[in-house]
Order: sequence, then C-alpha cells, then structure tokens
Amino acid sequence: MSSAANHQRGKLEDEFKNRMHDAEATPSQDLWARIDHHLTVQESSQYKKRMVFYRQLAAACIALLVLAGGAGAYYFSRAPQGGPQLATTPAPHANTRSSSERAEATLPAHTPPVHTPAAIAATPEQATAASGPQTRNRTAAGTAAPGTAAATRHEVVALAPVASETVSPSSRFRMDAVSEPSGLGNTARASFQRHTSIQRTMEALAERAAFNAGTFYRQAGSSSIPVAAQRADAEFRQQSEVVLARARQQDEAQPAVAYTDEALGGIKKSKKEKRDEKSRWSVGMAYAPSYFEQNIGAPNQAMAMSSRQSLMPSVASAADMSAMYMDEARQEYDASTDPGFSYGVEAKTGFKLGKKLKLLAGLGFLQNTARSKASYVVQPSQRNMPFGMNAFSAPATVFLPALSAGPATDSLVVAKRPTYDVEYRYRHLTVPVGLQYEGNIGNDWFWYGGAGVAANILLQSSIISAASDVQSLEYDRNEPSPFRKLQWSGNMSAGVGKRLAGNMSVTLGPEVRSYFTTMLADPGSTQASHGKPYTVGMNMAVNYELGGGKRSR
Amino acid sequence: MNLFTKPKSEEDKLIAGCIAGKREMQRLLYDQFSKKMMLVCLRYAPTTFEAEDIMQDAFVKVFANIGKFKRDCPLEFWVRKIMVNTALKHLRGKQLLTVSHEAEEVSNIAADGFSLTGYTLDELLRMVQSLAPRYRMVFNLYAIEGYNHKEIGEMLDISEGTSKSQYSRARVILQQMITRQENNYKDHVISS
Repeated sequence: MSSAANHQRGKLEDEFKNRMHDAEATPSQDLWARIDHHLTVQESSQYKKRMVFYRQLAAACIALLVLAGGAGAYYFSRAPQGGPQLATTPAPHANTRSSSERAEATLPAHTPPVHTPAAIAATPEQATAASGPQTRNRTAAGTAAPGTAAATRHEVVALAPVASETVSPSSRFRMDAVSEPSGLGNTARASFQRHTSIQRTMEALAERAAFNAGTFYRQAGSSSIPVAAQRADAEFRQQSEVVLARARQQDEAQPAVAYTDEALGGIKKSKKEKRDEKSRWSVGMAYAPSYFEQNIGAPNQAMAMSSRQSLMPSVASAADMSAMYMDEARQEYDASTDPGFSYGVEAKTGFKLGKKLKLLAGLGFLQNTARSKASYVVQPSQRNMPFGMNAFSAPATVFLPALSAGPATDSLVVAKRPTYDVEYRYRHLTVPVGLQYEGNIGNDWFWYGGAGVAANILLQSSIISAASDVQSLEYDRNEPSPFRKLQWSGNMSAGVGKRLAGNMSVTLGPEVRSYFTTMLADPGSTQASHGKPYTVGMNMAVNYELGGGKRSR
Repeated sequence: MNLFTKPKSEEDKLIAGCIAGKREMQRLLYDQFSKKMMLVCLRYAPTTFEAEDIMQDAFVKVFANIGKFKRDCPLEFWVRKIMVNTALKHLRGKQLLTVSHEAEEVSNIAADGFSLTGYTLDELLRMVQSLAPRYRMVFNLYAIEGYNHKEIGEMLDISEGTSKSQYSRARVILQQMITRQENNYKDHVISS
C-alpha cells in the first residue's frame, strides 16, 4: 500500500487547491432569508429570557419593598395613640332599620343555617327529590319557614347555601393535592386523569352516602340514627369496593401505563425533587452592613440649668459659664450625632423542619457604631463622681455625663475647644436563633423571609475621641460600665436568593434588628433621654447544603 | 479629526456593526463571504441542500460569536474556519465520520503527470462530493485547506496514521476517477 501522506504534496493536491480554494459558488436566493429568520428567532428568544429575568427581578424588588415598607410601618406605628376612639355607637337612623336588616347586618357571613326538624320534615319529598347537595341545600332553605314571618328567616337561612355550596376545606385540599403535575407525557397524563376521576367518583359516592344517611335520619327520626349511619356506611363501602375493583382491573389491563409512569417518574425528577433528596442540614455565612441608631440623647438636666441660667443676673461666674457650655454641648450632641457604619458577621447552621421551613442557629459578631462632633470637654470638679464617671480623670466628651445617675452638671467643669470627632462603638457576640421560610420564584431563584431572636453579649464598648487631649474610654466585658451586658434583639429579614452550581446558594435582602431594651444598664436613673436601639441593613449570605453529594456524583 | 486614533477600516466597521446586531451590517458580511463559503460548504457536503444547511448554521454562529474575533487573522480565514468546523460537526452528527474497517483495495497510481485544466469546477466538485464522507473530509482538510495530518487527527478525533491512510485512499480514488474519465474521453474521441 502506498501512502500519499508519506511523500510531499504532489501535483494533484496543488491542482485541486489552485482550482478550488478561492473558487466561488452562488448560494440560493432564499438562504439569507433563512439566516435572517433564524437570527430573528434567536434574538426574540434572548429577549424573552431577558424579559423573564427582569420581570422576576421587578417582582422580587416589589416584594422586598412591600416587606420593608410593612416592617417599617409596623415599627413606626407602635407610637402611643392618644387620640379619641372611633365612635361605635350606631347612627340615629340605624334604629329605623327593619329587624331583618339588623339580623343580616349582625350575622357573620358563615353563620350555619338554622334548619328546624319540623321544617325539614314538612317537605321530605322535596328534599329527597333534589339530585345533588347543592340543590338540596337551596330547597331546604327555601322551604324552611313558609309564612309571613319567613322574610327575615329566609334571608338568614339564605346566607347558608353560599357557604355550603363552596368546597369544604378538606375537599379543597384533596383537589389541590391531586392537581395535575406539569411536564407529563400523554400516557402519564391519561393515567393521572384516570386516577383523578376515580378519586372524584369516590368523593361523590361519599357525599351521596352522607346525603342518603341524612335523608334517612330525617325520615326515621332521631331514635334510629345509629342504624341509618350503619346502613349508609355499608352502602358506601360496597360502592367504594366496586370502584376500587374496577380500578384494579384497569391497572392490571394496562401495566404499560404504570411502567410508563414509573419510567417518567424516574427520568423526570425535577430539580425540586433532587433538592428534597438532600440532607436537612446546611451551613452558611452572612455579612450584614447596617445603619445603627443607638438612641441615647444628651442629659436633660442641662436644659433645665440653661433655663435657670437665663433668669439669673448677667454676672457670669465660672459655674454659670460651665452650665451654659453644658447646654450648648447638649444641643451640639443632639444635632451632630449620626448613626455610623455598623456590620455583623454570622455563621449559621440550618435545619429543615419542612420543605420550606428552616430553623437557623448560629454565632456571630456585631459591631455597632455611632458618631458625633463635639466642641466641648467635661472634667469632674469634685471628688464625689457619680457612677460611670470614675473611669476618667482627664477631659472627656459630654456624652459621658449623660450616662451618669447623679447631678452631673454640679460636679462638672465644661470647657470649649476646637471641634473633634467622637465615635461610640459597641461590640457584641451574638447568638441568633430563628426560622426562615423559603419559596421558589423560578428554577434557581427563590425568596425567603425570616424572623428570630438573638442574645447579644456586650464584649466591649468604647467612646473614642479623635482629639489627643480628650480622653477616650473603653469598657471591656468584665469591667463595670454604664452599658447593658446582655441585650436581646428581634431580627427580621427577607430577600431573594439564587441557587448556584452544586449545593451553594446566595441570598440578599434587607434585615432589621430591633433591640428589646436600651443600651444603658440602668436606664431608670440616667439623665440621658434614651430609647431602644435598632439597626437596618442588608444581609448577604452564602449557604451550603450538606449531604448533596448524590446530585453531583 | 483626531490624529491620535487610528481610523477605522471598513472591516472594523463591519465587525462593529455585526457585534451591535445591525442586520444591514450582517447582510453586508454575508454578501462579502457567501460565495466563497458556499463552495467551501459544497466541498464538505454531499448535496447542495446540505451545504446550504451547513452554511446557514455557520453564519448564525459567525454572527453570534463575532464579538470573540480577536483580529489575529484575516476575517475570511476566521469565517472559513467556522464553516469547516460546522461542516465537521454536521457530518459527525450524522455519524458519517466513523471509521469503517472495510478492506479496500488501494493500488498505487502515482502518475503525477496529469493536469486538471480540462475539467470544469463543477466536475471537480462532483468528484470530491462523490468521495465517502470520511475521505472527503480528510482530502479537503489536507489538500485544500492545508492542515497537516496531526491537526486533522485532532479535528476528526482520529489518529494521525488513520488520517494519512484515509487521505491516501481518497487520493487513489480521485486518481482513478480522473483516469477513468480520461479513458472515456479518449474512447469517445476515437470512436467519433
């Protein structure tokens, strides 16, 4: 055998290349039209995909806004309401309403119908002539109370059929449970519909048996109720056995259908089912930058002193100047205190309680910060320093006396100096526990909402001055400090998440953390106005579902 | 006029327009290369119908991926490469490139003293199209596109030796065709 490849390119190759490499052939006229159509279809499908994404994003944003707005409205609407109560006394013309109107107005919508045995027994043939439970109820209502006084009672009873015609919660649940799953083939759909029709037949039989029993009670009187119930039960059993036997025969006659169902069930395991195969456990890390409001004001007593100062003679002593500065310092503190950048980092473990409900617990670190500008310093002038002030001897920020219990201004010297920054920092170890509910938005997207409580253990609190000549204060965990050592908070969060490859998912959403108590250890005896602190931030988390190796293998 | 920026060539404008998804620019690019690429597709496909299918898929790929064109080679070369790859994929999808183990008698007709000048392009194209798919592929890639057997082996997922062997057979078949046609021509001329 000779191989052309074993030698150099010959004349044949050159001839073919020269003749064919740059040669041209005209394609058919409609080829561009086909390409154009293909491009158009491709673009429109991409556009649709983008539209779906944007719609989902918009829906998620709206949901987030609604949740955040609801949470905010709830939080801010808890202010005490001193306004007058709305009048509940009916208007004068209400007395002129007829008794029937009043009865209708006062009756709840789901008041059960009042069927007197006499009224029902009066027209047994009408009741039994009715073919279904719906017409049966109407007939009973219509014949309940003949006569002139029936107008009122007719209205009262007529409310009942509406309630009785609606599907009962249990039967509605059954219907929902057998709603047809999407993505089935024709054979599987036929099988499913057959099973559904059998179930509906069973339900109809049950209703019919119950109706027969009820008719029998009415006809036979209350003394023979157990006998009638047994007879209805036996009838129902017989009929249901017939239906089940017929279903069994159909199943045996069509084994291929069942096999197809099984095959489809095996092949068409959705992502959701695959997710359900995973372990209940998950771990995650979260980072939440937030906005912290410490809700601690300046001492109120200073204001009183300022008012007193204005009534005094104009000869300004050192104490008077100090009091005036204290007042100005308070105003400056109130005006310039702003929430600072705060954050929380948490490691959480999740345990699925149900398909969508998850119990979360973890451990985290919180750093909450507030800041202000100050142009005044305070320094104790006497030896009898109140609690919280014995930690400093050098000039300090005006914030500190706010935390003290005693008449601070009498024992303080306040001086003015160039403006400097002050930062108030609280570091907590947090132990959160909560519940999270998840719902699917698409195949990979989901929303979540969660709430819980957290124990926040104060590790360190600091009042840090940017000026070198103004003392900074720091209280460690074991040191006595004016701040509460353990604070409980309620946490609420909601957002959207995306499932990534493998078992990873990421979530993003707003988080609100509201503390149940103030920052101060002894709020009753401090001069500062104070409230409950809170943080509002964004929670970003990465979660990993354990035991999902089956899917990747 | 900005003296510090290089003026855009027509090809750059064409590429930019195609990246932006402008249909008129896509049409211009199609018009520029469609005739040459049609012949490329015809060489790889057994029929005109299949060649147009390949060309349609290939041009859709060109427009979808033109943003990835790095300008490190002529645009025509890049488009041609997409045509060839699409043709290979098309035929691989039909499983026409599987290597058969049929024994074929290969005789050496090593005479290089012939010329193709008497043949029209259609006749040559018909000869190439009449080759079995696997021979046609290797012949096109080696003789006309200029790939070596190692590259062809990687492209077709076969060994270098298989590529050489298949090319050798393709070459022999073509030589036989040419010889047969020449003999027919001579017989026809002599008899007439």
